[in-house]
Amino acid sequence: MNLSELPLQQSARIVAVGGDGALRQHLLDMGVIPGVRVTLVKHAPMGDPIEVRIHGYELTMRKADAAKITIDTDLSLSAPEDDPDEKAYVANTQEIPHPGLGEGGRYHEEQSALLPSKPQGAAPGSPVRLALVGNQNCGKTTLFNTLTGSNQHVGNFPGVTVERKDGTVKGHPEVTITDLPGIYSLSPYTNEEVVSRRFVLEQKPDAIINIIDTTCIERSLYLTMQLMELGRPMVLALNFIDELESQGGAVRVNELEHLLGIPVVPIRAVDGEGVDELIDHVLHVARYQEGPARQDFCPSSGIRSAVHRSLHAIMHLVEDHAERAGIPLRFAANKLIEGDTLTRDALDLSQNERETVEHLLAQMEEERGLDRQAAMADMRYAFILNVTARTVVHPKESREHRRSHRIDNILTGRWTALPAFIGIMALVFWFTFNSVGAWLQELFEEGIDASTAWIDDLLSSWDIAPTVHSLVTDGILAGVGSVLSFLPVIVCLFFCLSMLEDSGYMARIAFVMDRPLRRLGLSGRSIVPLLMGFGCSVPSIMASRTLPSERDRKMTILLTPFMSCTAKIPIYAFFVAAFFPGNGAWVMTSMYLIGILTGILVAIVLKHTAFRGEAVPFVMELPNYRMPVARNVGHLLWDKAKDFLERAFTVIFLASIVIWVFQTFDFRLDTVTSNHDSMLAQIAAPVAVLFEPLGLGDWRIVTALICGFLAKESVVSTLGGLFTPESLQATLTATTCYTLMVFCLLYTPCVAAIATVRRELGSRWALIIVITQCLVAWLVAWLVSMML
Amino acid sequence: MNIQSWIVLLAVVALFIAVFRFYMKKQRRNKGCGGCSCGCNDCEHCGL
Repeated sequence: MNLSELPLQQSARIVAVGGDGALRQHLLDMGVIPGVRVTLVKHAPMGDPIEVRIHGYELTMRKADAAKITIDTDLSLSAPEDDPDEKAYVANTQEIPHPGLGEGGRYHEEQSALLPSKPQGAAPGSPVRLALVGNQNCGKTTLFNTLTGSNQHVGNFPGVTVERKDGTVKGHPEVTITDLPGIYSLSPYTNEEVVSRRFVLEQKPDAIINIIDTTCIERSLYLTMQLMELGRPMVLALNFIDELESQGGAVRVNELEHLLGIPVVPIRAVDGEGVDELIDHVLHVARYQEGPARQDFCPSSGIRSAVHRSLHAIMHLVEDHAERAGIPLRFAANKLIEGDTLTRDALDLSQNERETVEHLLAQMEEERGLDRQAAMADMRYAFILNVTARTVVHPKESREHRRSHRIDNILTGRWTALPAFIGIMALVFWFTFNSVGAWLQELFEEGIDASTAWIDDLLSSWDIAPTVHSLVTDGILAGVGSVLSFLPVIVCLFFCLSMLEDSGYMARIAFVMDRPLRRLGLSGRSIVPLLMGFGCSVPSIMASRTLPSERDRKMTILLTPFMSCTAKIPIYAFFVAAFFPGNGAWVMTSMYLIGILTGILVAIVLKHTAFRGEAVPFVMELPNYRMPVARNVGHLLWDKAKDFLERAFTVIFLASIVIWVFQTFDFRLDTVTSNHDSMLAQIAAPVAVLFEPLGLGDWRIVTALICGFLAKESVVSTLGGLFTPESLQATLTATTCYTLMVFCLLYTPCVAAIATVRRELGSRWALIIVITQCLVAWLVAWLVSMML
Repeated sequence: MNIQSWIVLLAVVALFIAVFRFYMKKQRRNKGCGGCSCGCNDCEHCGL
């Protein structure tokens, strides 16, 4: 029987995990290993994906992937923790005094006495570099914000669009901390994982803070073990321990510290409780370079001894290669066994050594009865489960989990999920575009208009030449001002997005929408950036960074411009008033539908051509619902606002001046008296020929479309400047007007959006989007003109 | 053009050049040079 066939609310034991490559390794890393108990919690409203409970947390996966997992409903099959021999290598922990790892004073004296020479340690005040590592949804961002406050800088890791945050720790200006991406293991399959391990191996931070969610400690410690194998000094921060304790759970911190061999500090990241102690510990291990006291997790006896023998044999074999490559030996051996190509290439083994490794692994697989990847995951989880059996008291079911379950009955219920989703998104849009966002935007626009008027008066009072006056007011202020007025909308959109993300609802949206989006070659996670495209392409493209797959990210960004953004509404309103009075609602709705249908068609074409292949496997944790943290939301809003303002005052500023020059001068750089003589009009005239088949071969229309590249609203202001109401009615008919609206809907996004695409995907893809959008817009507009 | 106009025009041109240089520097920084060990991603900072 396989996991996709398991009845609802029933449990089973995993017998084998099929499949291969990144997905299989990811499943193993998440604890889906032979012998583990799994319970099917629910199906998504459209039947796929499914949600299972394993190791105390909820995991979603597609039915097709679940079908590769063989299970047995006979729960008497032995679990990893049931092997009595396994207990032998974990020390007796009847009563453990405080180990004092990572502390000064008498603990440091006692530990130093065991070493051949007394460690000196770096001088207090000397620079210290830390790395912050943890799973997603463990409170890592909250801890980072607590540690650094506003002293943080957001950038990129080299060569990838993985965000990097650096900051200095409050009260310790010599201590810098880098927030690494949320990861579940150090496998080589995703950009985030590669970036994190490369950072630790190459940058060699002085110490690592590994923050974990104590409410699902088994899954969390999997990454901890891999970090310990790297040999860098580290401290384990137990976050959400208060949640565990409030429900009757507990962690024997001294024993956990003793068993793991690294300092363990309980914290509450949201209000900073325990954080000072955490910093003291991590600075101590950083200054004295105290690495993990334990790195050997495999038992020398029992059913897993084959793994132990094989692993240690390989470690002896590759010792010199690992030293030459600068890779910690235990980590190198583990990754070699898991088939990690990055490590294999770095070790540069001879043919003979490679064959020896293969023979050792073949022997291990035969003795253990599991393939190598499953054997390694099983070894780690066996150790973890033994440790947590001795040190963690789990509550029956936490209050947070019960609450999440009740909320999910509505938000992911079979008949209520979609209405709830539509309702929540409608609320987001209403908040952003109808109420708070619109009100703030109005205030902003009034402010910008007032500033423009003041500067206008000032320039007039200084008797500035008309051309220079026009450069400042019509060029810079009009261009930058029209884009700046979007700032409140951006902030409101990201506020809503942050609330949905931090509360845990975003993961549910992806769970509900995965099946329909898979038909378009995307995964459920793409739905939110696509929906945001209806507001503004810029935050939508920025939000696509959350997608784990490069393929999905590219495809989502390519489809975003087809979602009719709010900047196009003034265009529709302008034409509806002139040509379709009384039918505005139908015409506007048809615009949105045409955009969505075109997007769907393009997605299907892309799925079978440039983006052939399945969407990224959908294996995702469903965290408990939590109250968003105000500080995190505030930091995010400030980052996004700063980013947008920076773009407005660079790209938009530069583009506004360039377009003004083209509009104001002819090719001899004389100021024009008639718009028809400007460089822009001269460029637009031959281009207008291309629009003849659409019935739009007028240079004034093409000029307006070119100005729309700067900001879509410019189409209306340019048309208003070049046409009178009578000349507009004479030039266009209802049919050609509708054709023009369709073209405006689909053609190139504005320069702010293109600049964002350029940053995310590079110049080549930005150019592809501009050209493709224009071609698709022309084609669809032509088809519409033929049909009408 | 009077002197005030020239001053405003030169100010706009200077601003244009300054913004352009800042923009190009930001593009280089965001791309990351990855060539230094401090991980700053700022090539000018490390002289690369």
